[in-house]
Amino acid sequence: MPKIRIDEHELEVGQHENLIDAARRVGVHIPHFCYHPALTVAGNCRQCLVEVEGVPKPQIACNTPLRDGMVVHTKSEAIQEARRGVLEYLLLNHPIDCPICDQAGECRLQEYYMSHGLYESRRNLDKVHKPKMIDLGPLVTLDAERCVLCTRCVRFCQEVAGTDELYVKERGHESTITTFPGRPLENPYSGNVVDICPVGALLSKDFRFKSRVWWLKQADSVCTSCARGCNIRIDHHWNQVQRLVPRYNPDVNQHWMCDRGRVEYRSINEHRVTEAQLGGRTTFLSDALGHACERLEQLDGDVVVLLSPKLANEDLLVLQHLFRTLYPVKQLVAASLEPEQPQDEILRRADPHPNTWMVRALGLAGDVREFLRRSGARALLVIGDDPIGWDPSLADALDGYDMVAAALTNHNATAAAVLERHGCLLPLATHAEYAGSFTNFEGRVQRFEPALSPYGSALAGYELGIEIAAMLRRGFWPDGESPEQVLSAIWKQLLPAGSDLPEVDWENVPQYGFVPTWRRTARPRSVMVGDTADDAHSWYGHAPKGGADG
Amino acid sequence: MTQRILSLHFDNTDSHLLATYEREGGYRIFRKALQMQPEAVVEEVKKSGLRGRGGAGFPAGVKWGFIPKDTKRPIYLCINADESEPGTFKDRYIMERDPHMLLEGILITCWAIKSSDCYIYIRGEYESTRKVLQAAVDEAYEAGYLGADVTGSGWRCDVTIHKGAGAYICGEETGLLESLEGKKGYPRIKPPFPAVVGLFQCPTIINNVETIASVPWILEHGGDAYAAIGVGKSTGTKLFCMSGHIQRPGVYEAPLGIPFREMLHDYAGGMRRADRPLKAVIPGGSSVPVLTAAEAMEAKLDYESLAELGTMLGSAGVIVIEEGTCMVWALATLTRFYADESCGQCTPCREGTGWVNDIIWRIEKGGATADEFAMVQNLTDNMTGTTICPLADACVMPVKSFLKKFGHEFEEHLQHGGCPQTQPVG
Ligand SMILES: Cc1cc2nc3c(=O)[nH]c(=O)nc-3n(C[C@H](O)[C@H](O)[C@H](O)COP(=O)(O)O)c2cc1C
Ligand code: SF4
Ligand code: SF4
Ligand code: FES
Repeated sequence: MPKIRIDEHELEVGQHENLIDAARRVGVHIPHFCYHPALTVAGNCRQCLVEVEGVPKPQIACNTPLRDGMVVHTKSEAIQEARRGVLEYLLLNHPIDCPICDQAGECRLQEYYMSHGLYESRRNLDKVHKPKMIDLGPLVTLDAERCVLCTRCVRFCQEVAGTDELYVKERGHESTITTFPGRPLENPYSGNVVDICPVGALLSKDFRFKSRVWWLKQADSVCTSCARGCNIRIDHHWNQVQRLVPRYNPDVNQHWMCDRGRVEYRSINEHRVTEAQLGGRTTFLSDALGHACERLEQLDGDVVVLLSPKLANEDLLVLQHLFRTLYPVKQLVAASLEPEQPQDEILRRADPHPNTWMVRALGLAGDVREFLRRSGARALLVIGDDPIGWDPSLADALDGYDMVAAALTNHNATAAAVLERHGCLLPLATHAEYAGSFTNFEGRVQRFEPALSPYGSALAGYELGIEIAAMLRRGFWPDGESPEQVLSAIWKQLLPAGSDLPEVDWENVPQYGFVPTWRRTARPRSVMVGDTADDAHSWYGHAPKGGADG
Repeated sequence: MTQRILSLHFDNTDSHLLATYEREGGYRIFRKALQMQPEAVVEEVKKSGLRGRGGAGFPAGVKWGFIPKDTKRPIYLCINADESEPGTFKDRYIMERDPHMLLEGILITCWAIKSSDCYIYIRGEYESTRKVLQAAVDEAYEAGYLGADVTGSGWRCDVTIHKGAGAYICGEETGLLESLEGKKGYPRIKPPFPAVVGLFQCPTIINNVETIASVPWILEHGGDAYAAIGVGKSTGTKLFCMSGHIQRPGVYEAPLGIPFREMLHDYAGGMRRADRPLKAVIPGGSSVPVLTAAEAMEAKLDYESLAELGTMLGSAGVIVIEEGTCMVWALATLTRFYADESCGQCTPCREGTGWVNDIIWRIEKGGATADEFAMVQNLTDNMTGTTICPLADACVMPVKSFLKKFGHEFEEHLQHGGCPQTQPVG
């Protein structure tokens, strides 16, 4: 491996590593706008100039091939001056409207001006004016005056989305990002251009004017909109999710997420079931649970339970243990009627559930309609899913039960049907409110952490299971005081004998998740087409490059 | 004694027709080249010292040698006929008056670099030229000089003419490639260089029309004979585009190293008005530093001599400026060109050309401050050497040289609050 020196750091570099990424590894930030590790090198912003010993002119770091023995200086006076010069050009026609710009606080131009610019404006004539508030598509708006023409957005649409909606019209200082007439920016990944735009030119219509970025608190999470399980960051404030942004994972989603996943958070903020309801009245959770458990005791297992494939691994492990071993019920199924969505070679999977793999591994798959109509049991318990919402004709099937109970996150059609029948409704936490993990379509176990405190008295699926077990006096497990201890205990103690499940050391799941060796050689059969572990990469022409970039 | 290589047939009637060209012995040299090893042809051109006539003056034979030896991909030849450099109009003469000489040069070059596909990228405004050239290509196909089986040798060679849409930047070789591929003419970052990754990601040689049109003569008379013409490393003859305030503007062929004085008087007929002596000369197309009259009168027109004077031969578009011309206006005209033609990719070029142009025009028209004038120096410093292609430098070079050599005129303008002359040019 070639060895190079960057300022005072000696380091080994990969043959095709980019100098900007290599420098980042040793903590040297080379300012840049147009370079993005997942896009081709454009070399147009000229902000990344560095000095390479033996080369007379400053070189752009993003397109400097690494050679053994190369010595790079990033802090010399000449480089400082060159950076200042480029910044001055960038700000020349820039409106400098930071006080009203949503990017303020996460804007490269602002950052670099503070670290390398800080000069008096020398321009004393009119700036070139360009259009503002241009509606590019359903999710994205453009302020052309703030644009630094790095073409990251153009290259994203060409190289990742493959849809080519954006281009630069005109030449020289009249250059402007735009769409073609009658062809809005509406590819299913359009929101990513907002994330990669280094300035406030491309903004999310959904997020703008909502919150200043420095108010946001952040939590690492996983998207639940499909079986891919893109890694995301939940940005939240006032216990409300403000936006979801993709989090780099070279093995799952690179730097991206789809638009559907991006707006999915709305159901976390809105129409939540926050308190328990029983017989048409709001009540304490403990009262409602106590009542429900009393009935369960009486029914002695003449119950069927419908779980959701949106529940986390730990939820499923606890609930299947409860309803199979501790309090065996007539039938236990985890399934949903939520329709498939378009699948593509980029990220989106047809299966709209984040945890179908685990459902199958636990042998919980089933047919929702068949299950609801022909169970023959006296009581029904639904946890997490909305069968009536997906198929309103199923409401009649509920009349066949003496008792209906549901633990739900949202006031959906199923919640309404339960309330109508004076059943028991319990508040369920969303994945934004607790820690857990999902198993994606290729069997990769990925952890998520809590962003919000639970809405009202909502419980996570696994907590609900533990509560019920305790109330039924069927054993109190797993051992542990803190959520972390409980979660690791779940993995240690609750793996069903003879199942396909691997041993997962919950506390040490690596950053990018991992694909454990599932015990049986045959993987759980999958109905999705093209379900191979390999096609995690197939959408990206070459092997993913390292380095996370904002 | 004037050696004519490129303009030899320019004055013949119907010089553009195949019949005329064949009568003069046309395509004979190509048949000879076909009998040679391609490497031997490259060697001959290397020996000739022929340098690129598009502006940069890079030795043609050396460039051809950059094609990877073991490439499995097709190799392309692109002829740069975009000719958009202000003051340059020589390629047009070759294409209109002796298109078959260019085609013969193309055939020899393709043979030498083992290519079977040539694109001629011609500027959009050259519509009448394109028609003549296309007719010549058609004739060559019909006569079997082009096509699947060139002169019955079994070797294929195809030539396609592609018309640009009128952008200066599409003359820059990688902007040209992008445009040829159907994209916006944005120059590419290097590395990789086109000889390795060029048109359609394949090895590609890009040469100017005049460069390739010189090749048949070199093969006919030998590289040494060509190298004997001219001076030092500036071998051979060159087409000089004489324009500006002179008696006989036009294209004149002369050996490299010819004194400017001789070119002006013996070829171009001297200054257009006896009462207006020479003021300045831009010797290599608009993108090179200007010379004062005194400098120009001592100058020899070849790569090295002009480099010694701090300027360049470029495309040999010699723009002659007489006394009485406002140099601020002249520069403003040039900066407007660069501001307009910058493709807009690189920050310093996109913003810098516009800003500098703005200031120069306000010096000319009134409204600029002394501070701004002082600033131009620093602004242009920040534009040089930091861009993808040399267009930014091409704008900076005239600006810096005008300020250096005619700075007093700019100061007069500032004091006067605009141009002191009623008309910028007499
Ligand atoms: C802005 C710009 C414009 C150019 N325009 C032309 C042109 O119109 N014709 C040309 O032959 N070369 C032009 N060039 C030079 C080409 O990039 C390239 O060097 C040349 O075509 C190579 O051919 P040669 O080696 O035969 O000169 C231009 C270069 C720049 C930077
Ligand atoms: S809109 Fe943003 S991403 Fe696109 S070119 Fe402009 S600055 Fe770059
Ligand atoms: S230097 Fe100017 S013309 Fe050349 S690529 Fe950059 S912006 Fe375009
Ligand atoms: S990051 Fe290197 S030129 Fe933009």
